[in-house]
Formats: sequence, C-alpha cells, structure tokens
Amino acid sequence: MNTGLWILVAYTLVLLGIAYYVSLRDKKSIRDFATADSSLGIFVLTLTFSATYHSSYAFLGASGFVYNHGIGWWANGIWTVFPGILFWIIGRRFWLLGKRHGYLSIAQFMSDVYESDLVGLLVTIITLLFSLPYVAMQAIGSGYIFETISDGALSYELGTLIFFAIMIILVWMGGMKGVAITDAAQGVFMWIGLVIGSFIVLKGNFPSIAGAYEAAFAQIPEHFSLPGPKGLITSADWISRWTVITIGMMMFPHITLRFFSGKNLKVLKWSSVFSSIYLTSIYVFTPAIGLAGNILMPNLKTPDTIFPELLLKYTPLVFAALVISGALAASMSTGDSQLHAVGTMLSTDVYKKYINQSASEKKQYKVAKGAILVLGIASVIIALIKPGLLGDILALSNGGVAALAPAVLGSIYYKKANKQAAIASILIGEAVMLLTTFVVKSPWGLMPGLWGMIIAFLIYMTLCQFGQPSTRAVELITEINEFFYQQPENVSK
Amino acid sequence: MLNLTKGEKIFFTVIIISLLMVNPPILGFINTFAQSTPLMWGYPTLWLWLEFWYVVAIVTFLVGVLKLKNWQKTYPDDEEVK
Repeated sequence: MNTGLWILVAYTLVLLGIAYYVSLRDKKSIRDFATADSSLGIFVLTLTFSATYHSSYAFLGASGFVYNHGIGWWANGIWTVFPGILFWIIGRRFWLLGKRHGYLSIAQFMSDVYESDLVGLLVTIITLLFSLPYVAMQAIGSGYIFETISDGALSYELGTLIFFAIMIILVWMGGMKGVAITDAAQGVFMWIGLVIGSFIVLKGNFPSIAGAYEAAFAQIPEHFSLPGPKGLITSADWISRWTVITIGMMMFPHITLRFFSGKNLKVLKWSSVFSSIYLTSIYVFTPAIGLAGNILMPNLKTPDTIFPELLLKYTPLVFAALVISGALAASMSTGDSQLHAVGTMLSTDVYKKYINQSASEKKQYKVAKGAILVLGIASVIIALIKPGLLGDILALSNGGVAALAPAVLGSIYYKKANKQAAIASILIGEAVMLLTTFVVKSPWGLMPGLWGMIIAFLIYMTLCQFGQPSTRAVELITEINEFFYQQPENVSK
Repeated sequence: MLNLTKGEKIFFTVIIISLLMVNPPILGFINTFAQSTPLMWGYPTLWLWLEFWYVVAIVTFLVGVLKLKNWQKTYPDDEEVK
C-alpha cells in the first residue's frame, strides 16, 4: 500500500473514532438525531455549516475553473460571503419557530404554516429528489480522489463504495451530533489543506503571491478580465450562478436542519459571522493557484485536478496526501450531512406523518437510520452510472431546490402568504426549471434554476394578492416580528 | 411587512451597495478599467475590487452583530455561551 493510501486510512480511522466517541452519548431519539437537540455551540455550528456548504468543488472545481476561465471566477465569490449573512437573517426566524413549536424540518414547518400537507409533501419530494444527485456528486468526487491518491490501486468504483460505507457509519453512529463534530474536524482540515497547501505551492515557485500573478499575466493576459479567454463568464452567467447557488443552497435540507441546531441565538449569530469569514477566506489563494497553474502545468487535460496535481508535484508526498485527504473531507462533510438530512426528513415528514402517526421518538430514529441506508445505496448507484459532469449535476440540484425559495421565504416574511400561491409557485417553478434544462434552451443565457426561481416568485407574489391568507402564517410572522422587533425586557445592552 | 430599525436599514443599505458593486453594470465599468490596468500592486485589479466589496460586506455584518440592539436578543431560556 502506498504512503498516500496509508494517510487516507489513518485519516478515515480518526474520523470514525470521533464518530464512535459521539455515539456513546447517543440518546436514540429522533430529536437528538435530527437537530442534536439544538445543542451545537459556535465552533461546531460554524464548521459544520461551512464544511457542509463547501463540497469537493472547493478542492477540485474552483481552481480548475480559474485555470480555464480566469479571474472572473471570483465574481461568484458572492456565494461565499452571503450564505453566512442569510444563515443569520433567515435562520434566526426558523430557529425561533423551531424552539417554540418543535419543528424538526422545513417540510414540517411548511405544512403547518400553509395549513396544507400537500405543501409539506412537495417540499419533501423536491428536496429529496434534488439532494440525491448532490450526494452522488460527492461520491463521484470521492471515487476520483481514492483512485488518484492510491495511484490507481483502488478503482473509482471501489472508492465510491468505500465512501458510501464511511458515510453510513458516520451518520448511523452519531446522527446530527456525530455529523456535526466530524464536520468540524473536517472543516479545520479543509481550511488548512486548501490555504496552507496553496501558499506552499506558490511560495515554492514564485518570489511572492504578487509575483505569481505577474508571471501569469505575462503569459495569459486574457485570463485577467471578463468574460475570460473562452468568453464564458458573461453577466448572465455570473448572476445566475451566485443567485441560484446562494439561494438554492439555503433551501437544501442539510442546510435548513442547521437553522434548528444552534444552542441559542448567540450561537447562531456568531456562527453566521464566522461562516462568512471561513467560506471566503478558504479561497484566498485559489485564483493565484488557478492562474499560476497555467504556467506550472500548461495544457492539462482535466483542469479540475490542477490543485492536487500541483501538490503532488511541488510538495512532499506526505503533505500532499494529507491535503488531498482534505478534498475527501470536503466531499464527506457534504455527503454525510445530506444523507443525514434526507433520512431524517423521510422519517419525520413521511413515515411519522403518513405511515405511523403514533411512532415513538425511538421508532422514528430507527426509521431515519433505515432511510439513510436506502438513500445511500441509491446515491451510490447514481454515482456508479456517472450521469454527467459535476458542474451540471450541481446546477441541476441547486436549480431544483431554488424554486422553493419564494414559498419558503414568503412563509416567514409575507403575511399574505397562502397555500395556493405556495403550491402553484413550487409546481410551476419546477416545471420551468426542468423545461429550460431539458427541452428548450434557457433564454438570455440565464441558468434554468434562475428562470425557475423568477417564475416561482412572480407566481407566488401574484397569487398572494388574491387568495385567503393563511391564518397560521399571519400568527407565526407576527410572533417572529414581536420577538425580534419589540423591546422586551430581555434585550441585552 | 418589515419593521426594520435604523441600524438594520443602514446594515441592509451597505450590504445592497456591496452587492451592486460586484454585479453589472458597475462590474462592467471596472472590467473596462481592468482591461487597461490589469494589475495593481501586483494583484489582479478585478480581484482586488471584488475582494474589497466582499470584505466590506463581512465587516458590515460583523459591526451589525456587535452593534445592532435587536440582534442581541436572547431567548428566555438561553444558556449563557462561554
């Protein structure tokens, strides 16, 4: 077995050890499994949110995109700054309602706020359908990483299966707490790997970071302005990308579950700030790596591998293998969180609601674990089929859930919110997204996910003017506004 | 719909300004400038502009978190975070 593989095995054993330690405190209830009983502190919530948000794209896709299309990639940096801000602005509203009314998922909340089981069911089905390809995308990334780091000793297929097994064990052992704590460890690993690894490569080959940019500019000046050498980064492209990814990502169950998981509002608030800093700072050297990569390794067939290739060529093997394990960390922290979220959703929003309404907390906990196994198998099957390019899968997944945004956001802000508007906006938004993805060319160069979201928004706002507002929505929004905007006694100085 | 405090209005104004600065048409003007001056102090002009506004957004968020009174609210049974 080569050195890289040994390091990967050691890394995996450490993760499993952490998950085992957490499992010793498992309360075997669905509330603890789903949201860690709202007990996460600032450090863990920051890192589980951040590590979950950044997938294998951070290691493989980002520098590859700069390598191909230039500095304009960072126009999409909005989706590293704003998730933290949204996590606080939107998340605190959900946190309050979760605390007061015991919601465990967004679908559960949506059923209640719109007084319609159909709305909750639609949210469950859509988030489930579009989460599976996303988990599969992490499995695909992991398969490649295992193959690369083992120097071909492990096949892509075997790598994918190992990824699946680790995911299941991590989620089964610790539920949200286990996933969150292993995510925290992986988040630290990811940051160090990406930032320090990039810095070492750049400093080893250029006098300074500025020197790397200057050397790159001398050879590839067209990479330093928009729309880039291949004309890809147009206005329509970057507006689509940041809106669909930022807003779509906030609708995924693995993110929304974290709204409910913070110990208190102070934890949620500071985790939001630190997440913005983490998510943005992790990319500080990525543009330099992508651009300098054109000098150090010109004409790569698969630009997505530029960062691991540079590491293997310019840093000691042990260090390179450790950093590449960070790429696996990025995949695993996203994959395990998604499996955990969709499994929990099936237990609370389908099994408890439609199959066994008297199910105990322990029974729901067991069903969630079973669902995670089944969904994990489905994801691996998708990964083994390799349905398309990672970027395309990402766009489809985010676009699919982004159409939920008007109904979800309307339910916590808009007192005219009603179920007809929610149902119509979700169904028509999804139809438009699918139509512009698979049937007709998306107009004006905007991504299908953005069209789905725009149409869903227009439908939602229009129908909200005519239907009977949901009395529950009015109650809950009033409750939120009274809590955050009145001056009660417990306001800190 | 929303009953924002003065502090929150300032917060959202700065956040919206930073969002506008990194989107068309303003980013288009900066791009034109970047084509004639691609590097400043050795760093890509476009990257510096984008990074500056992202930092403005993050610092504004940090100031909001520290200063906005209705962001300091605690839920009645919150435990003190140490």
